[in-house]
Amino acid sequence: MRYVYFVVEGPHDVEFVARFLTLHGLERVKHKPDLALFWVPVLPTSWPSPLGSTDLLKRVQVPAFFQNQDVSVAIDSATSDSQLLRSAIGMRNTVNQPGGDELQALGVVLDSDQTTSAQERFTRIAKGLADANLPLAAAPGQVVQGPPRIGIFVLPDNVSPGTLEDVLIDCAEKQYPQLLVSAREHVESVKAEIPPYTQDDLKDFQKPAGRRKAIVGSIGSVLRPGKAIQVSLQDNRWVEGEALELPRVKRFREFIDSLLAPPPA
Amino acid sequence: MPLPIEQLDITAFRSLRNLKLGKLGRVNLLVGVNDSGKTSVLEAIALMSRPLDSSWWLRVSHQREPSSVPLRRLSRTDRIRWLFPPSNSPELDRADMVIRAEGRISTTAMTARFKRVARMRPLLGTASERETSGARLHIEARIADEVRARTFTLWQGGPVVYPSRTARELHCEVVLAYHHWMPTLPIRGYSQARLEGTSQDLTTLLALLDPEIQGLEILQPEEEPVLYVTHAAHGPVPLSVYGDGIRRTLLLAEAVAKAKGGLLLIDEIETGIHFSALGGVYSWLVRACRELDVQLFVTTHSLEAIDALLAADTTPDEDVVAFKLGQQGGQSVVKRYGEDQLKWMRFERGLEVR
Repeated sequence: MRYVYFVVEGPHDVEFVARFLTLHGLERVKHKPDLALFWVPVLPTSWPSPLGSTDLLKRVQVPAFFQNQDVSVAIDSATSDSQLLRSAIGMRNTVNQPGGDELQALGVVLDSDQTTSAQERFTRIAKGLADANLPLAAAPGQVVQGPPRIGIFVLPDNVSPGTLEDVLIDCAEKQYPQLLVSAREHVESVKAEIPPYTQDDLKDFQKPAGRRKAIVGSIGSVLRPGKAIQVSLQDNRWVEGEALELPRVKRFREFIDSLLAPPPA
Repeated sequence: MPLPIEQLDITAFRSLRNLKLGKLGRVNLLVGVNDSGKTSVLEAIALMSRPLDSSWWLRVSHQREPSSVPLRRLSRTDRIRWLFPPSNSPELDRADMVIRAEGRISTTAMTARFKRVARMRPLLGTASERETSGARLHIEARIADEVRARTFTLWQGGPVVYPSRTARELHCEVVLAYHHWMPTLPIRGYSQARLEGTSQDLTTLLALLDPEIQGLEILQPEEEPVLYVTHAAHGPVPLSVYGDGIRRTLLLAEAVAKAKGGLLLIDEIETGIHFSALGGVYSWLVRACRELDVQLFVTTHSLEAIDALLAADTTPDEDVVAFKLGQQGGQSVVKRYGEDQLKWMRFERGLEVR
């Protein structure tokens, strides 16, 4: 059995990665007895409470697990570069046991935005991993042989500024073109300067990726009304058929495939 | 300044085989399932602190068997024998142990060979004799870069010679799970603290468990001196009336003071103290270890104890580390967790470390 760990930036990204795992026949593990023993150390046994924290909203974090007969994958969600790094390094140190199986590959998936370029974010994560004695990743989207094998993918395409939603809009052009048109019209009809909006109402909408997230959310709301976009990603055809031939999607698929592939003979 | 022990290699000791504990910290947590060798590590460290002292060998070998244990006690020879690796014919065997250490400890290597021997001993009040066994030990130790050797036999029922300690030896205090029930220990500890002017620290520490405790005093209402706790509501109360928490805490306080500049080994550190008091007691303990330059090794099965010890270290240094012990294919295996990793596992993710 090969073991691969992904840490990604949010629950949407978890389900996006999961869609590519299903292409390899991996299925979601829903019950502990079905989970590879390798991952048992990363199952929480108590409610985590950071030192000095009084946060009652802190939730117990459990990775999403997927496996087939050859590969077992855990996907974690984290925010900020420091949390992505802590999860990647901490999880690897937790699962590797002396004399036991070791993590074959470690993938990090994150966004770039208008203020921090893809290369900058990649460099921060690559340096952080290397400082923890992990292999130095060569470039965004490229997988270096380990052990463990390491890859860092900066959405949407390792070069352009953007987020997962840019890729999903590409996918919607192929899979849900009519919905995409109407969702765009709906979002474009929102005029922030016209009352009765308060400043707080459109705070997130007016962020750089706000409109694109709203378009994807609108499509998701039609496909799975009342559910979060990750449910639609899980249930609907975003990453299927012609969408798999899109350049950005192909690049991401190759990234996942490289991390999941058997070690070289 | 290096710690008393920076690295410990146990090639053979009890059931431990080729165990390497590297990058040791000021506070070292030993965790693992039952029979993984946690207490054996404490015993190996204890022997390294005074390898040529025959009475120390006896003490280390018999401390797993307190006198009140309702099981038949092993003979002195067998207790010594079982410090060595087991074999298929323990009645006839010879056995070797090898331990190495790096750090400030004066003993950096010790090899010991056991041989079972026998002699006839007169039976008291009769003209007859009976065979009695003995443990012949040949020990070679590298102490302060000088190889020293000693051979002695510890006979069943024979006298024990207590050699005076040399100035080069590190202090090594051992606290086992039942020690807080030994009546003379707290009186000695309090007396020492009183003489050194640190008795108020003991009061402060005990007040963490019961805020109405105002102090300690030794009284002698009958033949024997008795340690009393001065309580705001009840006046002087014999320590023996109190439960495990007060006794245990007092014992820890005594032990850390006696271990100044050396080693403190605590088996099952969680014993006797309610989880709500662990934070306060361990904060004091970790601070005392730092101030008195004591290196602490503890075994535990308790997540609350692990959390409290981790929370007790608020410095940026990696003072608290953990070693998870196990066995695989007849060899010892160990996984080291640094302080950052431990805090992430426990406080950020709620993961198991035992």
